[in-house]
Amino acid sequence: MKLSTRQLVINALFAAVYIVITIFLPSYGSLQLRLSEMFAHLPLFNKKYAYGLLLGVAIANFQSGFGVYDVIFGTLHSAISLLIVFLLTKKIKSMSKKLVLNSMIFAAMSFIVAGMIAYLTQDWVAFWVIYASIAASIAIVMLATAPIILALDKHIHFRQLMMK
Amino acid sequence: MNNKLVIGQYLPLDSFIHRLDPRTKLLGAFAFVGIIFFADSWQSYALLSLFVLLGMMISSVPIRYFLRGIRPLLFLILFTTCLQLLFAPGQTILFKIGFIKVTEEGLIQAAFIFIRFLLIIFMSTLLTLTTMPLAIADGLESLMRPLAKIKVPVHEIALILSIALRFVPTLMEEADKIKDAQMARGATFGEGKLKDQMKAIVPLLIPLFINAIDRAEELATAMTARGYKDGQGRTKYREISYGRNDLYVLLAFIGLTGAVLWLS
Repeated sequence: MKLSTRQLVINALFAAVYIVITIFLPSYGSLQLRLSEMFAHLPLFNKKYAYGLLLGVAIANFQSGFGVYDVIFGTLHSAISLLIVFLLTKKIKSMSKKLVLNSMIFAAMSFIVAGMIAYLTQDWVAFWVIYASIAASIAIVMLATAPIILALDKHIHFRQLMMK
Repeated sequence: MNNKLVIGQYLPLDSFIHRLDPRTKLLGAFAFVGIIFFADSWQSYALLSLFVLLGMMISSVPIRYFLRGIRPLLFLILFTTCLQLLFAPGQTILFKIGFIKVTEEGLIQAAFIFIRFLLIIFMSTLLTLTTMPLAIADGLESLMRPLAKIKVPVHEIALILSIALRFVPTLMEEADKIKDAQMARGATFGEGKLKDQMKAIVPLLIPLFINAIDRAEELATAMTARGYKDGQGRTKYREISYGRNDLYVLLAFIGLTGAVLWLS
């Protein structure tokens, strides 16, 4: 996936927006809902947003307690989820269906992050509970923000923006 | 301006750890997870704790900054430790209430997991407290360079990282202004149910995105006008290089690995 200078810079600025939203709107409630997860929907409009998303996740994860480990595994989680989403949504036309599927896959694949925590602490007893809580938080945020992304798209036209 | 503006937790001090090459610190943080994996005795955990404590002391960073790193994970730490305490298999029962029994093995296992959690968080916090985000980006780019052979766009990734980090403070300021402007019109942020919070962020996001896109267009035009094509043959403004101190750290890690293996 080759990027033009313009696409590269847009990705950089979108990564910056991801980080700003992560810092600006801190995690919500006991499930630690991170509202910036909504940006994981952007690559559905154009695959080239994947760069901005992955790097935004990477930098934002430096904030977390697990720091550098979260950077690697959090980014890996998003990358693998996106690959699966791209494969599965090839033939789906409806954007709403794509958004729902995207949310489900990101939530299901969060075993990567839960696995990282279990591996780092060598505590596999808690794995399922951690997995369930991360998956629930991702699913809630991504499903709840899907209409927001659709509303934003009406103003910003994500697909066309990345085409030029 | 906003005091949350600092990305990561970098604390600008001048210490041995601050001066190390970012690659050394990144590799050290990774190696540490590998080493801690071998620890299974009190002695090995004591040695690892001493090693991390020494690193924290050399960094000259006040201890409260490290403790701050634990806060968001406190619930997770306590939860997993308790789970181990109550459900880990063991023979020597210390006490029993109903179906819950606390065994000596469970107690030891819970203590080990607790220490492991703290050490990993402290080690990772040590990296982010003593290394500027841009230096981490440079370090990661350098470590990822071999991936260019399998067509990973390492240069593009590094450039996106640098531009993103450069624009975070600018957009943060912008977000602050938009928030104030919307609040002056009666909007509320960070209050109410999740649904209300979601609705409240749309008037924040649209101007923020449009601002970011405008900046991107300007920057892309400026870069094209100055002849930017791609990463081939470009030189770097910030060079990183290994020094004698990095060698000492490497030796310390080799020594630590040997000692932990011997004690376990």
